[in-house]
Amino acid sequence: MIPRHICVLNFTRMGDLIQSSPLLKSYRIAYPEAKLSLIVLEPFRAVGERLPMCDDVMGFDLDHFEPLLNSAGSDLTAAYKVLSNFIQRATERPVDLLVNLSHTPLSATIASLIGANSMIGLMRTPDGQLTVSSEWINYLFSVMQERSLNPFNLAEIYLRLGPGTTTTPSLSFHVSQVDQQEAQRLLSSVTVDINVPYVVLQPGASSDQRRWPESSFAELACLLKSNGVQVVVVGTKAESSLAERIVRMSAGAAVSLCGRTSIGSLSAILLSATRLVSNDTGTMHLAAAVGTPTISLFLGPASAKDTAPLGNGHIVIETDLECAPCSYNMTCANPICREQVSAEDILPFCLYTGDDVFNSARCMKGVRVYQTSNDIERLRLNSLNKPHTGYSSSVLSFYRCFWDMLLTGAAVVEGTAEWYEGEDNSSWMEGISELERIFDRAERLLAELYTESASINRQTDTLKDCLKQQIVWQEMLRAFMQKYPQLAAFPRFLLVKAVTARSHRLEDYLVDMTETVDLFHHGVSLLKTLSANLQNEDQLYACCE
Amino acid sequence: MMAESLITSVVADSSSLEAVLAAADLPTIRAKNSMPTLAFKGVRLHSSVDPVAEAEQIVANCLSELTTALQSAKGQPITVFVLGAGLGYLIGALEKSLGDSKYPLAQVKVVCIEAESEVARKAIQLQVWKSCSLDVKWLVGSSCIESALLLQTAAARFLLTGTSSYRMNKPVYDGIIERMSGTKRAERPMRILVPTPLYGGSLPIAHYCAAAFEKLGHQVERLDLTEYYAAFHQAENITRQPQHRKSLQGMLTAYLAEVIVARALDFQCDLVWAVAQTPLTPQALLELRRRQVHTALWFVEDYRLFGYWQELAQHYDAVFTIQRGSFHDELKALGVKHVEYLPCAADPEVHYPRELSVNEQARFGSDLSFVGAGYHNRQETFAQLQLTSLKIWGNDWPPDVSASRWVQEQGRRINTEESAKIFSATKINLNLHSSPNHQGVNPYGDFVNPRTFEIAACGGFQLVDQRSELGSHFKAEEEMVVFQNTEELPELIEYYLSHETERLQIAERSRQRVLSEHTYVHRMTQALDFLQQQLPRLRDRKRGPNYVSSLLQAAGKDRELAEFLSAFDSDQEVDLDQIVARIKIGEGKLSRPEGIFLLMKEFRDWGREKGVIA
Repeated sequence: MIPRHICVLNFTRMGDLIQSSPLLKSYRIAYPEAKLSLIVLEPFRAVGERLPMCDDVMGFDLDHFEPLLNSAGSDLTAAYKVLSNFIQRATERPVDLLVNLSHTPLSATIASLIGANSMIGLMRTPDGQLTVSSEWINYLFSVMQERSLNPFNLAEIYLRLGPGTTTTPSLSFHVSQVDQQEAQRLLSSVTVDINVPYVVLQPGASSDQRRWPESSFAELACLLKSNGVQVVVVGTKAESSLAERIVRMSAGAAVSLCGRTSIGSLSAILLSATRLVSNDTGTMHLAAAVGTPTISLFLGPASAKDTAPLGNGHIVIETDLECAPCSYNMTCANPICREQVSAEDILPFCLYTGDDVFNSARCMKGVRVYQTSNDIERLRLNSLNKPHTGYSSSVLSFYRCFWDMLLTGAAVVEGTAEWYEGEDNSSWMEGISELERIFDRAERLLAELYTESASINRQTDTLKDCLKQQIVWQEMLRAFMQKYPQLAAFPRFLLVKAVTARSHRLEDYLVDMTETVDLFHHGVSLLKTLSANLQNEDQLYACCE
Repeated sequence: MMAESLITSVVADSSSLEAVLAAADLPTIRAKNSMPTLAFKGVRLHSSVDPVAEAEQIVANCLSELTTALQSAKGQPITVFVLGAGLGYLIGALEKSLGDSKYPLAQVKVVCIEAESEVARKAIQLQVWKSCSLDVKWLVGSSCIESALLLQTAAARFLLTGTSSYRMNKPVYDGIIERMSGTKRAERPMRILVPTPLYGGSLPIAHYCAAAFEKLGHQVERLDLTEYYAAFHQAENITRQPQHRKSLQGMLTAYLAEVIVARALDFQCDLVWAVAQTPLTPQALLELRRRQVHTALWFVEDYRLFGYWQELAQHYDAVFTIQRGSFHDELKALGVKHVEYLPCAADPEVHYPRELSVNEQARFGSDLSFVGAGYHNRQETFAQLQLTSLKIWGNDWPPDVSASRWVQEQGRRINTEESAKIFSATKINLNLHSSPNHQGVNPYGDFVNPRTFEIAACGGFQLVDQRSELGSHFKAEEEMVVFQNTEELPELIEYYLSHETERLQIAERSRQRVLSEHTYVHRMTQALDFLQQQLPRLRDRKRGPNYVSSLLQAAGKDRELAEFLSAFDSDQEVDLDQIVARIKIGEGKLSRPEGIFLLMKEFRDWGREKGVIA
């Protein structure tokens, strides 16, 4: 059935929201007549409103909601009204297809309250159990814990949730005339001449570990100024003092509009800028979306592979340290990655293009410098200073092929096995054999559960007890992941599926686990076939495409 | 047509029989677990998933109170009145809970009260409790209130509510509760925190007050601090230096005062009700005032003997006293704005006539007894009396005084239950108010001690020494026999031992006077009325938005929400966790309100994780 109303729920922040625009576009192309609604957190409603393919954007305002639920002075009556009205507004027109791109239980509950004939993402079943309806969402959950093995950019994963329309994953963002006028007013207020080139700096980030030092930003501002380039610092209100310090340290080489921009005026400021220099931030994606070249530094837990800006010609820099990128939620006592890049390193990227850029990149030590290019359904990070070979890149290419085949059903590759020269693939093959043995165990335990299911007392406690046996093969997978880290991505995916299986009713559990064990079987076969045929990345992709 | 004999076997009286016979036959619907349930007047009377589990949950919610009631009954029969019995699922749940306990099923009679004759008819027809071995009777229809009142006995009863049927006809059943307990439930319940003292004579009074507040329909939290007594007492073993000991105990008191503040704020109470010796400090009381939590102290001590009120009284919003006159003047001079006289009382659910076994009668019974500690005036008085028999119960009787020969069971402490048995089993209870400074009767004695009310409530006869306030509580000679000095005692004892009828009549009159005027419910009603008159913020407090009635009002025409909320008492204040606890995941389709409350909780949890919701 062709959906007449598609609703996308995205409770992420600005960057992720912009990265979902290729997916929204693919829905717009596949269903040009459908109404496309977007539900976002209120602070990012202005972002949603500027995504040109959306017909309607609703914001959920937590600021109004929080005081109603504080333990002192909570007001359940008012809170109920707020939520009830919100759901009523969202369901004024029946939704045919609902896509939930968020990963919190609350987004699942909202999705289920809105309801739709067809739902994609995390949701609740009518009886309230959490469930995931798309394998790519399961993939997204699992890959957060196995980031080094993830070959996809976030926008690419989002795109795989869509209708499968073949499009080049490019970002979209509409900058209005009002936005541009507001930007001009703001720039004039800090004496920036819009007829003279200016570079925008975004020194803030979601955590300190992800920030290039403010002294480096200040030094870059001085260098740019001496080259006749104006410098504007942007950021949120909370980042104002950081911006002020940079302005002070640069002795006025930079001016600050930090905390003064709206999303609209920010997008217009970026649109007119010659470059944006940024950490991995929403501003970076916004600049990429309005077509302004970016130079971005991926520090701390940020990974270029996961969230580099979509588009052609963006410069992406990450450190070459073994520990990079670090895990989420870890605190680093020695964040040396922040010191690996100097202002002098960055300057040429702000001033020049073409060979001058390549020459600058080649001189840089201790970092990997990439330039982005968009192919069909794929963002490539083209290395400017290191050969694009090596074990990790071949494993990533392998996984790109594997996941597309397993989860989207791309055709199986034919060819002959050939690993890169010098690589030892014996443990890889040994690992696959072990995975096969774990699968046998999982299949046997599930068969036993089927046999016992008739005699099981359906009381919840008893159910939990009788499902304990199923944990055996999941524990085996956990041990396996320790032993074969390069093969951990698929077991992690299976574990996410097993852990999120509906377990309130035995019937539901059996359905979900059967699906998981079937996918286990399919995945192991695919791993074997692909490994036997593995030759090189280009050949793999030639076959995939 | 249902056989009349089937109905007769379970209904309690003829009007119930008539009501059931005249009632229409209702169609049942099946719950998910295939048990029958009913939808009546738009309300689903039992869980549509599992009525048995629902009933078990209702019983589990009140199990500790039921156990206490059984314990207090000491093997005597107890009647459990199920108010709003519906199809009678609570009967099976009661049997299951009691079967798991140490109490014999034979001790319990169940009276199911159902105002809706059609519902009762269906219940009797289906008899979902059929194989149950409890003694079950039904009171049905419009006359069930009067019938219930006829069936009740003073102490051995337990009122079980919480069903949808109860909520459907709440005014009817609350009428029964009010009539049985003689209390009118508050229209706008308060949240009251009752912290207990660590030990001592005020400790049980704190519990009696809390129970009275509950009976009046308020939301009460008892903060039992007795477990800290060991730590408090330990200070005496740590050092012999009085200053150091005082300092250690002061620190513990300060800590406990902070505990009270923390609970008061978390519980968001309207009032902290303290009795003498509740560990509150001026700092904690100031903090509570700053946080707009009202505080009241009931100083159930002799202010002349215990002077610690002087440091604390002015920090309370109101002080209640068992003495008036100069004490009130002193309190006002200290700056206490609101002072009220509030005499002692009895709790008829604790202090009621006991029936004793032969062995108990031999142990606790006597012609003449005294219960209390060995204060100086008591030692003197009992030494002077030329008695042939006397039983003295209680501690602190020095072995070297002549009265010590009457002391029972090595002068151990007597608990409440034992004292009630002694009062019931004794022909003449001597009640001599304590005084460390007088011989015999204290000629200036003013307040009336709790024991006066307790002996009366237990149906005991007493000879009590003259107190200036006694006349305002009992009619002399008619309800209470008073002695002015110890010399009068021998004659009075002899007279009343030989005039049993007169003795029993006086005892009964004094008991009736207590029940009608001197219970803790009466006192707490008076205290709260006073507080609401004097403290405008307490009087004008709005019913919070989290009362079920407010939610129902907000629900308007949202029938799904109204149906979901029908599981709660409309007078109840609920929090989000209580609501969400009712939502069963994986057991049938969630309704829209269930989804919205679930969402609300998820937002709150998410907000807490992010630190934006406190």
